[in-house]
This record gives sequence, C-alpha cells and structure tokens, in this order.
Amino acid sequence: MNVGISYKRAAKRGDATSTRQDNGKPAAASIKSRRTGFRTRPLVGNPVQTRRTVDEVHESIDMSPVVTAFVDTPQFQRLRHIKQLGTAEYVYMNCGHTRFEHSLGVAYLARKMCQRIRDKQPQLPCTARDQLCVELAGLLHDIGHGPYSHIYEGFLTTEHPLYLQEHPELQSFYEDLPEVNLKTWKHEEVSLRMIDAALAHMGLAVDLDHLDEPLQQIDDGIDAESMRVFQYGLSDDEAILTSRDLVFVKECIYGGPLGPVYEATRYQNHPTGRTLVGRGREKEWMYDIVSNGYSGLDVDKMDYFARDQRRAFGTSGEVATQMIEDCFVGWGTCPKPNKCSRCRSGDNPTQRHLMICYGEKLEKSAINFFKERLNLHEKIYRHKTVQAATYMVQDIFSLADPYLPISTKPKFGKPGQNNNLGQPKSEHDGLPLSLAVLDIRAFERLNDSVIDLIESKEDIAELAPAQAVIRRLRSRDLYKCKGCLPISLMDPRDQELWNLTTAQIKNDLLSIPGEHDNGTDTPLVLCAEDFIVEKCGIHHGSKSANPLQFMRFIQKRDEFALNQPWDSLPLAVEYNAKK
Amino acid sequence: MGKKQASHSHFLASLFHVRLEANLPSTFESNSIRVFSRNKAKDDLLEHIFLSWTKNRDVIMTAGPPDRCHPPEPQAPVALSQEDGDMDDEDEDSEYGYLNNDLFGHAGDYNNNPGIEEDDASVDLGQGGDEDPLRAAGVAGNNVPSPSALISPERSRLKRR
Repeated sequence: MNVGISYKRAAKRGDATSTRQDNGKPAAASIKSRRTGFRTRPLVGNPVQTRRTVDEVHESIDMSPVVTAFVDTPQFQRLRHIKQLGTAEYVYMNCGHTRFEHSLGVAYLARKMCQRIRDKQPQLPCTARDQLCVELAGLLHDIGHGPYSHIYEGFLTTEHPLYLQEHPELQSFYEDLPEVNLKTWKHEEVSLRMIDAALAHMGLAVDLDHLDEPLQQIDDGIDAESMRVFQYGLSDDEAILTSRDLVFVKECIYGGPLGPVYEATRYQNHPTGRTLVGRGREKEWMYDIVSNGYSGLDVDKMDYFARDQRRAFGTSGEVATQMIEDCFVGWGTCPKPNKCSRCRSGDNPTQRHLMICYGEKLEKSAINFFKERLNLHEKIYRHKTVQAATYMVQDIFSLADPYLPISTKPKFGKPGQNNNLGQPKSEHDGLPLSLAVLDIRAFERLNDSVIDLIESKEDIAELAPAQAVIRRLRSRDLYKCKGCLPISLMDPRDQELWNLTTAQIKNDLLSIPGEHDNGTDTPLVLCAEDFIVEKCGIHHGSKSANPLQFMRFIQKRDEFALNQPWDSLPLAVEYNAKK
Repeated sequence: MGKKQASHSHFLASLFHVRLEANLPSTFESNSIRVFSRNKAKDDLLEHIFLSWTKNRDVIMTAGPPDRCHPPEPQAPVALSQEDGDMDDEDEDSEYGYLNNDLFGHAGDYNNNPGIEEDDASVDLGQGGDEDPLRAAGVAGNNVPSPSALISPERSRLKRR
C-alpha cells in the first residue's frame, strides 16, 4: 500500500518557493501541501549524497539526510555546549569534548553493528529502516542531558534534595511550584521529550493513534513523507519512517516501555505505556545495541570508553572493534528476568530472548572491556579532584537555584507552540534549575553556560554565594579530598561501614570533638556545610556480580547454525554453564 | 594417538581456563568512603576528625588500596598522626593524574599500576616509623636511595589515600 502522497510527486505539484540556506546553496523547495495545509520542504538525498564529518575516533562519519535533519535541530546542536565529562578537564586538560561528538560516534557504531549483523545473518528480518532507527537511537540517546552532563543529574536527584534538607528555610521558595518525582525520574525521560521537541521543530510529531502511518505533520517544516531511507528499490512502505519507528527509537533509549513518560497525558492508557510496541519479538535484539540492559556492553560504552581514554591519556583509546565484528544474534535465556519488561509481563514464558551474543573466543575481550570500565571510573570519572570540582558545580547550582528562574518561553519553537508534551503547562514566568526538567522549553535553554549566566547576574544579591564558588572554580581553588577510606566488602567491619548512609557518616563525624588549634583564640568547630561525605562505589558494570554472567556466548560448534531464520537460531550458553 | 590428542586438548583447555580465571578479578567492586572539604580553613580539622573516626570505628588500615585481584591480608592497625597527614603537599602532582603514569601510554593496561608497586616498596621498609630510612632501604655507603625508599610507610599510606 502506498502511504499518502510521495514527497517527489508533491514537490512537482505544489507551488514551490525557493529559499537559500546559510551555506549559500539553494535549499530544497518549500511547498504547501494540499494534504496537510502546511508549507513543507522535502529532504533530498540518495545513498551517495550524505553529509560527512571527521571524527578523531572513527575517522569519518557519514550522515544520511534523516540523521542530518535531527542533527540540525537546535535541541541536538545544544549538545555542542555540554561537556561529555563535566569537570574532568580540571584534571585532564583535553577532556573538553562534548556530548555532540559522542552522540555522532554512537550513531556511527550503532549503524555499523547493525550492518555487520545484517551482513552475517541475512536471514534475520532487519531492514534498512530498522537500521536507520537504531542509528537514530544512538544519535539521540543523550539529547536530554543537562548542564555538565551527569553533574546536573546528580544535583537534581541527590545534592539539591540534601541541600534543601539542610536549609529548610528555602522550602518556601518551592511551595507553589510543581515537583519532580525523583523516584521514577531519569535523564532518558528528558531525552524522549527533547526528541518530541526536535520533531516539533521540524514540524512533525509522533501520532500514537496511527502508529503505522508517517509522522504527523503539525506545522511548517520538513515533509513527513520525506523522512525516509534513501535507498534504491524500496517502496514508500519500506522506506518512510512511521510513528511506530519513532516509538521504537524512544524505547531503545528509555530501555523499556514508555509508561512513566506518558503518565498524566491522554496516552496514559495506551499500549505503548505497558509493553514494547516498536518492534516485535523477531527484532527484539535491536533494543540491545544502543543500551544493553542485560550486560551493559553496548555501542554507547564502546564509544565513550575509546573517546574518553583517548582524550584523557592521549596515546590509547580504540573502539572494541572485535566486539562489533564478532557479535551475533542468537537465542539466550534472559539474564535478568525480574527486571525484563517482557518476562515480567508474562508474554515470554520460556524467558528466552533473541539477543546480541558473542563468540566464545571473545570472553577475554569482554573481561577486558569491563575492566576498562572500572579503570576509567577510577582514573577519570571518579578521580578525587574531578569529584571535588563536580561538588563545586553542584553547590553553585544549589546556591543559585531559588534565585535564578529559567524562562519557560519557547526559545527555539514557534510562538504558541507547546513542546512540553506530557507535562502540565507552567504557570510561572520561569522555573528554577532544579525544576527545569518539568518544562522542556526551560530545559532546552540549559547548557554549560549556565555558570556564566549565574556569574553575570551581579545585580542579584542573593546570587553572591554562588558567585563566590564560581570565583574559586575559575581560579582552580577546588575543594579538597581530605580523607579516603578504602572499603573491602570481604571484611565484615568494612561492610558495616559501607552500609551506613552518607548522612549517618556525616553525623558521626560531627559528633567527634575536633577543636583544632590554628594559632588563634577561636577554636575551629566542624559544621555540616564544611564538608561532603561521598560513598564512592566503582564496579565492573554489574556491582558485585560478574558482568560476564549476563552475557551469552555462541559456542563454536553452533556458529554454522547462525545463518538460519530467526526462530531456528541456536541457543547461546551462559558464561558459567561452560565451566 | 587418540588418547594423546585428548590429553593435549585437555592440557590446552586447562591452560585456557587458568588464564581466563587469572584474568578475572576476585571481587568486582572497588569502594571507598571519601570526605571533601569545602572550607579551606578547616581542611586539617576535617582530616583529623576523619582519621579519628576511622580509628574509633576500629577500622584496620591496610597498607594500600583494596586490590581487586588479590585482596590484602589484614595487618595490624597503624596509628596515623596529624603530622603524617599532609596530603596537600604530597598530592599536588597526582591531582593532574601524572602519578598514575597515565600519560605514558599505560592507561589501557589494567594490571600496570605503578602506584601499587610504590606501596609495595614502602611496605618492604617495615613498619618502624623511627627507623633510619637509609638503613631501612638497605642502602649503604654512598649509594643514593630511591625517592620512594625515603617515604615513610605512614606517609606513603596517606599518599595512597
């Protein structure tokens, strides 16, 4: 069935208005669609006409027209101003790379892994459109990051609630404001709403009532039917992106059904909220490529391990090429049936999934991969000085929060356009930093420059404490790590310590009389706001468990059976079962 | 012949198994409790109180960080003094990651941790804080001891922390 009107035919028929892009080349003609009534322009492209960029890890990355369309939205461009590693550049000066580069790298690897599997297992039902969706999931998986990446997340979920507990007098500032449900909130949720905002910028939207039709045209912009795979020989049905495809992209990013995202909307009872509707069982392995909920071995980590290592240490840092070249799709018993949405829903009584598996010869490479994770956390992400700078940025956010309203007026969208899908429209002129996630119009204004914004507001006296911390940060007068106690969980006494909360440890420390003779008459007394207690837990990706036990390996003798239809693929073995 | 082949493959399998096992850490976590000072004027005070807390908790201070591959043997508690705890001076370089030897191309090699070697060297000096460092390092005559040999065990331990 031909869905709607082909964009090429529409382009011939409509009243074209020529415009020019910023680069001087003539833009694609904008036409008024008879079907939708909006002025739309088609994406143009073919397999050899792609945008190419140079990347330090992957050397060269090609972007298809649809990928380019997403990259060119202000929501995605915002990632250029969000550092991948937050404050790591205070220790490793080259670690100033951004989420923008990482996102392009993940998109590249996602497409590469998908292509590799299609080449090796042509019997698998994986189409070019599926591949494009996985690539889009890689591209957009981090679009919801806030200023300084995970620092904002930590501020929102941990530091700011703690700060409010220690300063109850500030509660009045937040009385009339909506609340973030921190129990269920995660940054991927913002990613999904940012995707909606990016689509809206293109004049498009996901229509959950018509999942198998092209994206809904809601405004002037890109023609919905030109959001497609540009490959010769594909019919419109096979090529045009549908609403289901974008739901699939979102599910890949969110790592499960989209229920919590659509709470309090008209879609709260939609099947999308309860089960995975993007792709069926024969394609469920595609969910593991960008965000592997079982083992954690996915292209996201492959990219940032290589990129961060290369930036921090200069000499090393290569993508785990072998893990991409030698991955397969096979059946495997569910490694986490208690957390798996499909196993829990009862749809999968055998608890077997089609999943990404690896040849058994890759066990050692997999071990090294997870060791690399721990190594990077020790040396970069949880480095004591990086953490010290992190706490400073979070303190700046906490101190400035009540006094720095972030405007909720649309910055990128058109006037009157509500990109705030799924959330009540804010009645306030602005929201504090800690609540900006509730209104996507406020959130898309945020990037690392928020520190500059706080610094520039010299007329607001209440911001002086935050500005004082900024001055310390600017002169690298960082907080100091003044004690570190390694914990061995094999020791019961250490285990007992580890079970304490940071608040309990803090109270313990405050109860110790510690007057210190500093040569003056006034003795020093430690106060709660003088220090931060951190429980630094670093692991191989699965806390105390061996991450390999969540992977599945194809035995050498079964590799011949990989070229079978999806329902006849071999059963991969567990790591421990081999021993 | 068949028996010989089977024996050979068994040998290879066991060799592979041993190598794989040796590559696996015995524990998959590396945890620590850290304190950060916001107030420069109270840096030393916080350090002092944290050390007191660890002693009060009867925590055995081991000579190095928990080794993920080979957990350290418990050792006798070691008294840590305020004088030994001057972390600022000791740690200034390591804040830039230089002491991790990362800038010399060993970052990818998980087992290459010069920090552990340094600690091992200091442990070899014995636990006697008052001992002559030159004698402790086994240095005689005009031989110049290595810098790590001159670091007292307690000082080296604090540096690691």
